[in-house]
Amino acid sequence: MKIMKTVIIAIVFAALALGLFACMGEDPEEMALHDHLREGRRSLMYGDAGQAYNHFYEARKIAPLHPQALWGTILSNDLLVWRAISGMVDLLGGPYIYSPSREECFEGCQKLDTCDLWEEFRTSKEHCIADCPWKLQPYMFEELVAAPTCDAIREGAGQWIVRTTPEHCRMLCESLDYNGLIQPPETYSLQECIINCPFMYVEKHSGCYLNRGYMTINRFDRTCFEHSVLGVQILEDNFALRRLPETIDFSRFLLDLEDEYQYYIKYYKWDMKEPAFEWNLDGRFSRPELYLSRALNYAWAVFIHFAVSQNLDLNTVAFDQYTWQGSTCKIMLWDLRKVLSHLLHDPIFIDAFRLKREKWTEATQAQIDASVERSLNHMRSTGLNMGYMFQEFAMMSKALLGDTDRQHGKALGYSDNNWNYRWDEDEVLEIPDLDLSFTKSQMFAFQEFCEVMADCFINGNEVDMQDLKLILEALGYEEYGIAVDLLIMVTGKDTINFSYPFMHPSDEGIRPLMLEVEELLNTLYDQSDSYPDFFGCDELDYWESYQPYTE
Amino acid sequence: MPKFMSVFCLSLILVLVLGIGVAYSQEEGGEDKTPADSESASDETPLTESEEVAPEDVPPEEVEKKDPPFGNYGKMIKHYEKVLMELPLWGMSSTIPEGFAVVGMGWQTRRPYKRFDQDRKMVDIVPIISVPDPFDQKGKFFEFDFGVSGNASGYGAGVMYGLTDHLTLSLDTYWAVLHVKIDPIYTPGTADKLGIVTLEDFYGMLEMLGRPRPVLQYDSDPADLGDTTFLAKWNNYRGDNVATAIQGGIIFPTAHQADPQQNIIFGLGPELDTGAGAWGAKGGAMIDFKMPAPADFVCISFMAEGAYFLSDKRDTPKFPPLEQDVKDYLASQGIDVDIFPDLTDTGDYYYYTPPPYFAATAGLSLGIVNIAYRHGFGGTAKYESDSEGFKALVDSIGLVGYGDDGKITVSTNVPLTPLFIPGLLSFNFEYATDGRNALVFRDVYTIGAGIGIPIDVPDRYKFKPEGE
Repeated sequence: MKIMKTVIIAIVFAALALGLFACMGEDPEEMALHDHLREGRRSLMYGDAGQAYNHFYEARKIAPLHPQALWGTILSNDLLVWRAISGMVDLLGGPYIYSPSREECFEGCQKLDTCDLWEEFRTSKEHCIADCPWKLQPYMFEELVAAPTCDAIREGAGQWIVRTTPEHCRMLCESLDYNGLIQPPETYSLQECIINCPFMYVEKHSGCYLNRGYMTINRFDRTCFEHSVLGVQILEDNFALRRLPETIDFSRFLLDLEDEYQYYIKYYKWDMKEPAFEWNLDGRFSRPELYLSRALNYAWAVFIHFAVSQNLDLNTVAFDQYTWQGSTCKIMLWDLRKVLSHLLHDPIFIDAFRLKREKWTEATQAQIDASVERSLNHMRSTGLNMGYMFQEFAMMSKALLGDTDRQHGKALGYSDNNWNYRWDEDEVLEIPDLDLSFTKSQMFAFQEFCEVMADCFINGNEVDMQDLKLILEALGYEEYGIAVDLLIMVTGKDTINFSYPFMHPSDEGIRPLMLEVEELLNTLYDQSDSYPDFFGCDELDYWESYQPYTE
Repeated sequence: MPKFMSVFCLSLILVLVLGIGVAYSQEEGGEDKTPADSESASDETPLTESEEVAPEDVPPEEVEKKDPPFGNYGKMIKHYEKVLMELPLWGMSSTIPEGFAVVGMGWQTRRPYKRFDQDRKMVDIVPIISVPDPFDQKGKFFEFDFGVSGNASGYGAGVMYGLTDHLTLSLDTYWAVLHVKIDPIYTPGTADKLGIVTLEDFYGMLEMLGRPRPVLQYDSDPADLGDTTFLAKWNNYRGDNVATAIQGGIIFPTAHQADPQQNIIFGLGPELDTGAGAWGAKGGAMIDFKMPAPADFVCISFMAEGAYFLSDKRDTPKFPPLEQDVKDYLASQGIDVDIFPDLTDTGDYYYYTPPPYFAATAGLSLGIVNIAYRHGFGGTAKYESDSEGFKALVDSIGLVGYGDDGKITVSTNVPLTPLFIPGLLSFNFEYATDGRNALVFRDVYTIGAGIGIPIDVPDRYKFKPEGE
């Protein structure tokens, strides 16, 4: 009987235990949600924007309005904006140039020495090691070192950097003239083309063009000269702003929540490697940070809309033709103006800096018109997004000024020294990473400045320059008052509509402005002999760091 | 899949004989006949019921046997059992006796597992694509895992008929049941600098490079018809211990052809042709060696077979226009974009010639268990098109190259004659051992059933019910 009782008790306990375990089991979907939220936050802390985004994306599939998922998405998108900016910097820096070891450089120099290729590789025996890798990408450098003969070097790695010979230049420019591409003063004249050609085209490109029966190739040929910026513009146009609506919608949702949901993240920063930039935003995220995020995204939209509206199909080889060696102010200015001149007047890369339009033969007139209209819309969007950006900055300032939350531990918060949860006059908002600080009055002024600019860009209202000057003074930037005075003097107006060039864009894009810059550089170059020493251009000279190559 | 019907039918013949033999020997006392006996039995005079059950050297108590059940039907089954047992039907070269037909059906399941690559290494069916970072040459640009999964099964059906004792005609086909799914995982690396962060973004980039977004799932509904093969097999020599045969036939283009917009060959989806889908000719030769008694249950067989196909006109898939500027940019960054040729000039159709193949099989039969090793060599399929881009596309995907594969097959068969059913059940297991550029399937099991039917049997085999 006793045994029976024990067995019954054991069964009851077992049943209870099983029931308990059953109750402890979490819904798998719920578990997946928490996994994604946790992993997403982890990825954010490690700065892995893509992974973080995808985790929060999966989380949103399970719980579309989960505040953590929305916050995570917004913060991921912000990181992605910085990644994209970093990508832009990489693009502007050109393709990746190999970083060889000293031994590899020595090996390369030996090859150049054996084949007497100093001139072709734009270096010398003395500067070979310092100049290494002679602007070669990894595979090109590999080709150089592995080349069995001198001809193999010339036809392999060399063709990417060897300047077009004068003979080829003459043939090339005559061909361009024959095909109607020499159109001075928009482009170089035939003679200017022949003179400047070695500094605009490398053998890789001109050789390809000439080998293809150059007299039959028209301006629409894209097979020989690199038009890679167009591809970047298309990619940016399609992808760069894909997540902007998401950030705006999700942040609006979070801003409209009755009970504010704050998101905490232990480590989080906006950063870039080159140029080095870091803004630590660890801590609690609330309304001001949401506005900051919206402002950042609109700023990115400004850049993208503007960048894709202009014809930036430029001769990037022109950038590589100058090594800035032994720079002085005069040499620098000479180089700069020549580079700009090549960019503006290259007969192959015609229409540089004008409004972007379809440029290939296969484009019909309707397509061209549509592309121009698209570029015009991008310009208008540039202006509008500029306005939205200012609007969000104004809202951020307002939110900060009215923030009565505990400030300690906030990603963006004023120093509430007396813990009264109010921004007092003697308290500041410091952003040490950016070397910025705002007092309460300055924040008011900043808000006012942003509201004025937002009104201008969104509604097209003119900005009163005297008001602007007062705001700048209140912000502590009295020195910029001179710039305002200068603007008033140049335009002859007390009010300026900054949004005009965006709202009423011209087909000419920024080309007129670039032509002005070219003129300015020419003037500066002409006067460069009289520059005072404190300009310090000679400090740009880096020859001293060179270590000569010797056998 | 195309092979399994023939393997099944082959084993069906062999085992029908052997299985019946086993059943016969169990039930009738295990009479061991020599080929000479068999030949003497193959007389033009039909065997009578009394002759069948009263051999002179059998003890009287065993001669007094019970009649089989089911009346004349049971007697007929027993009669044909005996007829078949007495015929020298062994090895791969054996044929169906004159006037008999065999109708077979089978079901097979298999699971796509891996793939033998160019270097005969077993790798994932579709390897993860990892593109190196073009920006600072560290890490990756992105990674793309296709996540291919699925299963396949199939039904086969065939009929064989003995036109003479040494000439068999057969017709077989099959239906494939396919469930293939692609569940891709995109992991961005530095591609996020260009805003290509999610799978959707990645598809967007693919579209810019002239590729439609891939179809992610294919389910045959309910099954896709495979090739239909008509064969004539001639057992041209049959000695005591050696037998040979040759066969030849036509392959009809009945196989289901994948929708070009989701054909795996073009990297557009998971669908694939369930056979050659083109007219073809098939031939083969086989030789068997039967061990002398008492090891005469052991038979070693060799077979060589091959097929050649004619070209077939097919529809080309449609591709979105390529953004040449985007391609140029990616190429300038050192990304390999050769797999994205311009496909705007593909036209409406192309000509496809399925790869010819050759296979050699060595088999060992031990009673009702057969073990065989088959090595097949596939040629390169031909894609003829005026579009250079189209040819480059097919080459770059690389699923159509020369390849070979080897597999071991173990099969066994259960006769149904003890149950008075004139047929057998066949079980077959296949295991891929090695190969190059070939898919590897696992869990390849086949079960089949065959029924023998006397259609127009000559008098020497004919069953005469009592009283006739």
